[in-house]
Amino acid sequence: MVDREKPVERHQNEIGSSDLVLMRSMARGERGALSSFYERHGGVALTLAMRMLGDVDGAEEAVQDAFVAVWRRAADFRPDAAAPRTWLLAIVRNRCIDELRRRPGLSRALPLDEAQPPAIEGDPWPDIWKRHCGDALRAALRDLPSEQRNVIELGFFGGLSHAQIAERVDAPLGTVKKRMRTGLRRLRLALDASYADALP
Amino acid sequence: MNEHPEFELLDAYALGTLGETETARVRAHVESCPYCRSEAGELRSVLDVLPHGLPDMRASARVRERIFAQLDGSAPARHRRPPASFFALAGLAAALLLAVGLDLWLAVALRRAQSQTAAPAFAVASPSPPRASSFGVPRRISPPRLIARTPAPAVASAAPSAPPAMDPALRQRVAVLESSLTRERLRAQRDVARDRERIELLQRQLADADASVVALERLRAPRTPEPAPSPGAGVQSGGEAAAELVAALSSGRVYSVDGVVGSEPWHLTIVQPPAGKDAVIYTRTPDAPDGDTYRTWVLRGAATFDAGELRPAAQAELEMPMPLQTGDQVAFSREPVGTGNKPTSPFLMKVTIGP
Repeated sequence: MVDREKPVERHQNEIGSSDLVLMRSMARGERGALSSFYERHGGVALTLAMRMLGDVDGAEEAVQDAFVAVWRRAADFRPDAAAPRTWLLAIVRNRCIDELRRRPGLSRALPLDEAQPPAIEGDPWPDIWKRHCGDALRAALRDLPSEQRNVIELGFFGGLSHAQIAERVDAPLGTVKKRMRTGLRRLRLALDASYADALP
Repeated sequence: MNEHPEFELLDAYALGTLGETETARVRAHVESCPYCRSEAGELRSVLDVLPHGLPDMRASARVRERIFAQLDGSAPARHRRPPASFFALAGLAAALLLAVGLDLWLAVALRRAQSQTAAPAFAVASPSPPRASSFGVPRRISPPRLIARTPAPAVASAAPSAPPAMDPALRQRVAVLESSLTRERLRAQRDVARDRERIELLQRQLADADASVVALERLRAPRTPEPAPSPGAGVQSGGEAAAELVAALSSGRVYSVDGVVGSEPWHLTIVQPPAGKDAVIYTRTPDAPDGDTYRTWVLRGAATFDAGELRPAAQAELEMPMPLQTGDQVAFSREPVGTGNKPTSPFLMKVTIGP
C-alpha cells in the first residue's frame, strides 16, 4: 500500500533507488519520487541551464519546466531509449534552446554566485560514478583541438546552428561543419576508450 | 527526404539546432533509414554525455518549491521576463570574451577569486592533470568557495601561476579510490549474477540428490509390513519401493520435470517401472498455504484420474494408481485438503509422457 502521508521521506530513505525505480514511482503518481529525482539531478540540471542561458531566473524556470514535464510524462518514459537523467537533461536543453531563440541577445555566462556545492550523503556511488564520467569527458574534451571543442560547445550549450557558429567564430561554414564532425567523432572514440578502461 | 542527408546535416540534427522544417525532413529520413538512424543515435549518445562534464551544483530549494507549487496549481507554470538591455550587453560581452579567448579570461578570474580567500576543504577531486579548457567551468567570476569545490580542473590549471586547486597527492589518492570503487562495483555486480546462476544450478542438483537419497534409504531400510492399500493412490514406503525404483532406473523410464510454483522452483522425478507397474513420483513438494495441498492428476484423453496427494514441504514419493502410457499428461494443482476426484483450480505444472 502506498504511504500517502510521508512519500518524500519514504523515497529519501530508499538509498540506492535507481532512477528507473523513481520513474516508475512517478508514473504511479508518487511525489516523493519526484522529490528524490530532483534531489539527485536538480543540481546538474540547473548547471546545464545556467551554462546555456547565463541567467539564474531563466535557468531556474527551464529546470522547473523540465521537472514538471518529467513528472507529467513519466508514464510515457521509455527506458530503452535513454537513461532518465539523459532524458531530463535533454528536456532542459531543449527548453534552453527555445529560450535562446526567443532571446537572441541573452548572455551565455555561468554565474555560480548562488550555487551550492553538492554534499555527499548516503550512497556515495552515484556521485563517484558521475565524477568518473565527468573526469573522462573533461579529459576527452581537453584532448580535442580548441577549435573543435569550441564549435561543439557553441552548438551544444549555445544551441547555435552551424551558420551561427561560423558567424560567431568568424570561420567559413564548411570549416565549422568539418570541425564539428571531426570533433564529435574524436570525442566518441576517446569516450569509448575511456569507459572501456573503467571496466575490470 | 529519400537520399541520405549530408553528414553535417545529420550532426546538426543530432545537436537539435536545425529549424523545424529541416528537422522534420531529416527525421522522416532517419526514421526510415537504419544507417542514418544508427549514425544519428551514436552522435546523440556522445552529445548526451556532455552535461556530465559540468560541475554539479546543489539542487535549488527555491526551484523545488516552485515545481511542487506548480503541480499543486498554486503557482504559474513560469513567468517570462522581457529581455533587458543588461542581457544584450552581457551577450555582447560574452561574444567578445569568446572571441579573445575565454580560457585566459577564466584563468584570470579564478586566480583573482582564489586570491581573495583561502581555499576550503574540497568535496570533489579530479584526477586529471591541469590542462587548459573552457569546458564545464564558470564563465563569470565566482566566489572562491564555489570555484574551489567545483570539479573544474581546466580552469584551475589554465593559469600557470595559480595555486593548485587541491593537494596533488590527495587528488591522486581520491582518483585512485574512485577508480578502484568503480572496478569493485562492476566486479561485484558480475559476481552477483554469476552466483545467482550457480545457486539455481545447485538447487536443481539438490532436488536430484533428494530423489536419490530417498531411493538409497529405501534400499537400506528393513522390510516392514506394507500398510493396507488404500483405494486410489497413496504414499508408498518400504524397501520394495526402492527395489522397484532401482529396477525402473535400470530398465524403466525416468522423466525429470522442472517447474516453478510461485517463486519456488519445483523439481520432480517421475519413474515408470517396467512390466506395467504403477508409476512413482519422487519430489520435495513446495510449501502450500494453510489448508491447501498439491494434488496429482493423470490426463488420458478426455478422462482425468485423481493420482493422489503430495504432502507439502516434505520429501515424498507418490505411487500413482496406474502405469503411465505414452501421451498421458501428469498434472498438478493446488487443492483444499480433503478434496479429490476433480481438479478445482488451474494446473500449476503439466508434463506429457513421451515414448
